[in-house]
Amino acid sequence: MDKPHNRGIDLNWKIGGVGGFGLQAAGALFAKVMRRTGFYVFVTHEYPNIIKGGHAATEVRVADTPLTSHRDGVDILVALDADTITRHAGEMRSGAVLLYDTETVESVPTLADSTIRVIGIPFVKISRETAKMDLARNTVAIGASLALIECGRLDHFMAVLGLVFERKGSDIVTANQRAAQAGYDHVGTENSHTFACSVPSGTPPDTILVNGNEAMSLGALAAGCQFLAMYPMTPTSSILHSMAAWQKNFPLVVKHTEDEIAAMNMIAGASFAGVRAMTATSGGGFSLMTEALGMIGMMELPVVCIMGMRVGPSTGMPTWTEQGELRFVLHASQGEFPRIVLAPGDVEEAFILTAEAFNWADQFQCPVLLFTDKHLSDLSNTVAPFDAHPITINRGPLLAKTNAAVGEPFARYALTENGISPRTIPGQAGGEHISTSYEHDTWGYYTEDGSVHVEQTDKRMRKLEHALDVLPKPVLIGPAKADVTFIAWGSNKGNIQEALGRLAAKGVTANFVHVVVLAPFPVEALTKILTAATTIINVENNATGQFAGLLREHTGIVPQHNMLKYDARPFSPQEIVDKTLELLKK
Amino acid sequence: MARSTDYQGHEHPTWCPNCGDFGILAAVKMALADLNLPTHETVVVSGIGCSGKMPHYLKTYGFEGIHGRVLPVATGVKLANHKLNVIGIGGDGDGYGIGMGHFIHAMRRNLDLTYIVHNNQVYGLTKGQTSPTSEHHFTSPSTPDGVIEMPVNPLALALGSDATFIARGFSKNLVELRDIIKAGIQHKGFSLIDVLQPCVTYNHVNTYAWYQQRIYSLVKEGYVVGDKATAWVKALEWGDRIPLGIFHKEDRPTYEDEVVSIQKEALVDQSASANDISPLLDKLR
Repeated sequence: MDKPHNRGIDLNWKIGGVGGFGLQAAGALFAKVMRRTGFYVFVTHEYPNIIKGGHAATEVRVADTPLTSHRDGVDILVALDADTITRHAGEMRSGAVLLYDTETVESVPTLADSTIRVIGIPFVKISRETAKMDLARNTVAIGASLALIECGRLDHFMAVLGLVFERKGSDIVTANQRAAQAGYDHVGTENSHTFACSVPSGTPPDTILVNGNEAMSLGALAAGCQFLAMYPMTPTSSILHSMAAWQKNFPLVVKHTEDEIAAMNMIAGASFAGVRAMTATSGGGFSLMTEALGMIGMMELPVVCIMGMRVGPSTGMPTWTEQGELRFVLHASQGEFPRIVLAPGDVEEAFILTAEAFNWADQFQCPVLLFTDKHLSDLSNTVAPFDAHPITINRGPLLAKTNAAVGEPFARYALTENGISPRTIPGQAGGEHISTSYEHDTWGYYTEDGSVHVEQTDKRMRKLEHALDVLPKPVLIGPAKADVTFIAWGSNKGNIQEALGRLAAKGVTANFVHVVVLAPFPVEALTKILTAATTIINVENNATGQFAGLLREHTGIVPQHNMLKYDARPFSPQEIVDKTLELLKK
Repeated sequence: MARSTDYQGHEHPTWCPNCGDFGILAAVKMALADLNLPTHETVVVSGIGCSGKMPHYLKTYGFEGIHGRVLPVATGVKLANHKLNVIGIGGDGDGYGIGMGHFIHAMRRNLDLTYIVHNNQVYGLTKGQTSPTSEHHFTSPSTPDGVIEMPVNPLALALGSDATFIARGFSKNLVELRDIIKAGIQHKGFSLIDVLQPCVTYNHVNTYAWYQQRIYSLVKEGYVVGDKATAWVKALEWGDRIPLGIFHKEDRPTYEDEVVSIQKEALVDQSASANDISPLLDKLR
């Protein structure tokens, strides 16, 4: 467990209750208040696969330095029901405060740690008295929480309530503001400022608070994505919601399809007709998309697909996290065709890689697949505002309409040196051609000629031969020389980054190879970095070490240790530290 | 004025001699020519099966996708550029079997698409198995004791799914079929054109002679399009007499009519490079 910070500059606030209580919204409110005050926040959610009911909780970590991860140990636990205390009391650090609702919690069990302060507040009663509803109990609880923290700013909370509830009308705003004030006042002088800290001096840093799905949606929009066809599936559904709302202000069409088969085929049609097209799904939906994915590979159409992993196999545990689909995505669909597979590690990479994915899809005329997982999709982090124009749009060898004086028939699959052939789109005279899922010749016509199949296969595979020159390289984070070298992909990035510092404090120097591009596999770059490593630990959220196998397949390098976690939760930095120290003892 | 040969592709059909598909191909080319539709502004989308080969024999933009997914692809093409003339080509296995789900949704969606289904009541390319429209008790390699299920009635399904243009043609009645296809293309909304088309190799029940003894023209018997209840009666008629022609037609706003972002210009013609996400970033502050 982490040691408590006396100044409260790294504070973990957690609110728990029954699903449907608006806990995620409450977490967002608290996070916004703290962001406004000048702090950095890192927000994570846990919730069941139930609309109303079950247990849900949201955690907001607040610090005065940028954060890359959640962490263990809760400083303020807000319990809206007794179940929250049963489940999370053990997470509280010494010196923590338990704020509980005196009306829903009949009795608080005796806590082993006597340094934990227990404060009962009638959240619902205050909510009814001040706001004439039960729902403002979260507002009361946040008000009370702010009173506990020396740098908790009620004025910022009032302003955030004004902004968030603006569209619901001024009555709702003032009702919530009354509830916030009452919660704040209820704490009383005895307990107020339990957590000593000061508001960061100077101008607050310019940050945005953004989650992985928002980052990917924004990346797509900034890249000029014109068409999204998708079927909702946890954890990527909010991409559909965000982008659907943008249709009225941007040249964008969003289609909620009848199923994922339709979604993948629809973006194939849209891409053929010349627009930038994307879909997003999870493992189950991706299973349905695989046949059309192969068709897209065969037809050499540019598309982007976001693949959000959750716990499998099958329906698994839909609202929890895992990295079980690496091999599936790398090999999905029959036959051999080139694909680019990317794994952003944090919200910033989620944004920029999604934007660039559209360029790479157009340049290499192949599907670009982006991994996320429940952890990355859902976590919110304060980061520097994204660049509003992160890329220069590059449509690859897409012939402009004025440039259509081409031969007859148009050789859509011409054998070029780099394997990438100029393409035309419907509407362009002289560019008429057929794209077929069958093997075809240079004009797109069906063939059963073995030598043509070899030519076209070679042409397709050639496209990515030099792709690694433009795709991002694996990054070595931390000191060049270290006792331990972690290697990981995707959302483990932030957890490991924080673990590096914690290990250093324990006298262990560690660095970290963050692999962003999984296909084509960066053989040379990884070999170069890893050959210099002393002890390699592969960190993955799955049971079989899929990346370790991939690394061995491509480079022959076998990590000394596999640190695998498949309990449906992401690694915490301390967990990585503890497990590393254990492994080093062996 | 365009001629039918202007739409002739470079490949020669590989269908069996006397296949009903030849008639459909000829009727499509004649319809395109009569309507003077530019080849480069026409996209023909097909699936897999004998019907799926059609785009190879036309000089338009062609998309021969995977089995049963004609309509999602056609939908994507149309939403990307609704100025295009988009024709979907399916088969009874492709469209009424594996692709049935998309068929229903495409009709309720009502994009301005023309969907021509080659219906020969049997699987051809996979060698003669039963299809969703095979007659009750039809025997085939996959149903040696006869089909137990009742056949799909595509026209009745279309009526029940709010399709705005529903017709049936016969591949041998070329002029009638040409006119139906023309009317379907001209109709603003989703047009289903089910085409009876004998499979000379695998279907020895529903032959040219079998159809010719039963088919009749709705128009010639004084049928007037408009009343949905009468259309139901005609859609359910199958057996000794099989009606051909336009069963139902109605005006309803198309899907693309109601998509906000493509009211002024086709999506493909709108520059997406100017997307400024700054206002959205401000909301995250």
